[in-house]
Amino acid sequence: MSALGPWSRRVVGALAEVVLPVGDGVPPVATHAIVDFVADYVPHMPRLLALLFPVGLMMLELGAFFLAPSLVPFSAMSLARRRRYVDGWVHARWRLRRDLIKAVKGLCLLAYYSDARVGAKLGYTVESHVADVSAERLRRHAQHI
Amino acid sequence: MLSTFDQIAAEGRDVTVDADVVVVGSGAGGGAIAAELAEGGRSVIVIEEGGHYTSKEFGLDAPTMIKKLYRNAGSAPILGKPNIIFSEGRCVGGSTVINGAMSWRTPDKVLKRWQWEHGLDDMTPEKLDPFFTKVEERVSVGPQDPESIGEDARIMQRGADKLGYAWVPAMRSQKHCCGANNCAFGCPTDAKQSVLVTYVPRLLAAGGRLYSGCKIDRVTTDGQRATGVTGRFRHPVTGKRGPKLTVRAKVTVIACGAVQTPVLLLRNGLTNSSRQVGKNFLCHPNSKVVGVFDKPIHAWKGTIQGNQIREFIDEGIMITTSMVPPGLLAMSFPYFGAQSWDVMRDYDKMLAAGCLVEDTGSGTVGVDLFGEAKMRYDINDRDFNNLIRGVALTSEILFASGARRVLMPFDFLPSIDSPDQIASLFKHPIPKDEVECLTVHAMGTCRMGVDKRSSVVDPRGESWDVPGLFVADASVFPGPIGVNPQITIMALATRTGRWLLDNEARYFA
Repeated sequence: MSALGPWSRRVVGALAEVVLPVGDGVPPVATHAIVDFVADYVPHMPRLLALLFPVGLMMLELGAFFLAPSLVPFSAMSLARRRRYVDGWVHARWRLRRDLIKAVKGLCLLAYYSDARVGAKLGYTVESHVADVSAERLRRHAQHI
Repeated sequence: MLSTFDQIAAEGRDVTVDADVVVVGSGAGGGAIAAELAEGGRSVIVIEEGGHYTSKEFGLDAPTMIKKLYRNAGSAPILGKPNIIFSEGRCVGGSTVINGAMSWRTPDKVLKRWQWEHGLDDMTPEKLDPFFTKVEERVSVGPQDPESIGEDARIMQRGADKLGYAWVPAMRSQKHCCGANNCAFGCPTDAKQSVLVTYVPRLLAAGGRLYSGCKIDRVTTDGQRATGVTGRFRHPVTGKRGPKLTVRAKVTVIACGAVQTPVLLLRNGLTNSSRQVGKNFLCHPNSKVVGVFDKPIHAWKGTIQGNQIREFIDEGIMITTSMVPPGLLAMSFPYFGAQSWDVMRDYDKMLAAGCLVEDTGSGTVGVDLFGEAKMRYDINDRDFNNLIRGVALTSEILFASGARRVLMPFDFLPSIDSPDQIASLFKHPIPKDEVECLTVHAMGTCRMGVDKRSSVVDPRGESWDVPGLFVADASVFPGPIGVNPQITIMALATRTGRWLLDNEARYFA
């Protein structure tokens, strides 16, 4: 199930490349996995938001012409320029721009930090924790539950 | 008997059934009233829009579970200044499956306000006590086992003690919770006593019937009385359409929560002679503040809330811990790229706390172009000031607990490094739309009262306009309660159920 066409997916991918952490010791997560995550998430949103989501992506993409300003759309800009452009949206005076970038950026980061390898790198080993406390619960309280 | 979308769709036939009572919604209110009535000998049908999942199906991947268990994957915005993200459950058991199970009786001061300002004379602690007692027994309300309390709660407690702020240990609906801290994505051990593992089994054991994966579109009437509901089975995740459902019932109970209940009533043009359906929308706006400590504290281990700081409850501010998985935390910060990693690499040293404000203002719930909920809420100046004060107090407690840095819910001030900087919050007016806000408590949109010109339902929860139509969820609250609403919802729903059983001749003859 996906509400995003190839054009929207390209914009999300271009944004993900900016938003995702990179560097030494930072676990990599493939951009297409992030795009798939976002595309899968959008249909679950309220219908009006799901319909407006690609419109917002279009604003991000084409807004580059006059907000950057740039001769190419957002997804065709260099990574460094895209980074500056996104930073401009994050700190924009117009609230709609801030809200829009917050939503798309938020989904990309949700996808990234929900990756099990990233979680483990951060010390979030939830599976072993739940297994341990569940076993301990049974050991202590089996007769009462 | 439980029938899911898949079972009904496989049969491929429209379903028409009769019952004494049909209950729309299986959360705190719907579950409680359905079980009460079924155990009282009535034939009861419960209809739930979301899917039926058991603890075996509750995984530990937060986004996957959010898509399954939350309405709109937890992404419904309440538009206003600031925008507020609203999350509620959409599954068998409703929001009790994804909440923190905090269980408090309605504070006496709130009940007094309901008596004085709304004429609800029966809302005294004494008269409600039997219902609270029954509910607390049904969902096993009690303190946490000490081993389940997380380091985050202990740290906050130490900070509060240092500052002389009063706190109370958490009372939760749980049986030997072990501190898995997965409450918000479905308890993997069934320790949390949600409606899914308490009232639903009681309902089914008493002969009640539950349909999941069915969305109700119409509340039917014979021109005067409510006569049941109609709807259609829809796959809870894909939305695939299935057969139609028609329920003919002597009593119809709407318990879809304070957002979906007014939407259903407004779409049907029902019970709105007072023009109050969808008005008086209350939501306990809250903000998150994150302390970063020098050492790993594993705040994601241990029960979701081990205590609540109640020092400021009379001012309408409550503070508690509420740690979430890394993805949900990261998406709430303004950072991205390398900066995001620089902050998030300290995840295991972070402690997320929240401050909740008892609202004095209100918003509205309406219906959008697609028939879905349209929520509007502009926080008023008083509540906004309280929210900022709550953020300041939470920061103070975190610094007193040993935090070296506090991440703030403001776009213009993402973090502070010392308690001396807290005062800066009050030096200049903060734009309302610069604050990150969220809520999981919706209330008040079909409020009860004694005057049908200013309320939607009477003091028993029955519609003033449509006899036989009841509301049994947080919609009926005439005002905010300042604490987690689950037990109040269950107690009032149980009270409505009792009223129906005590007045059989009137409703079921």
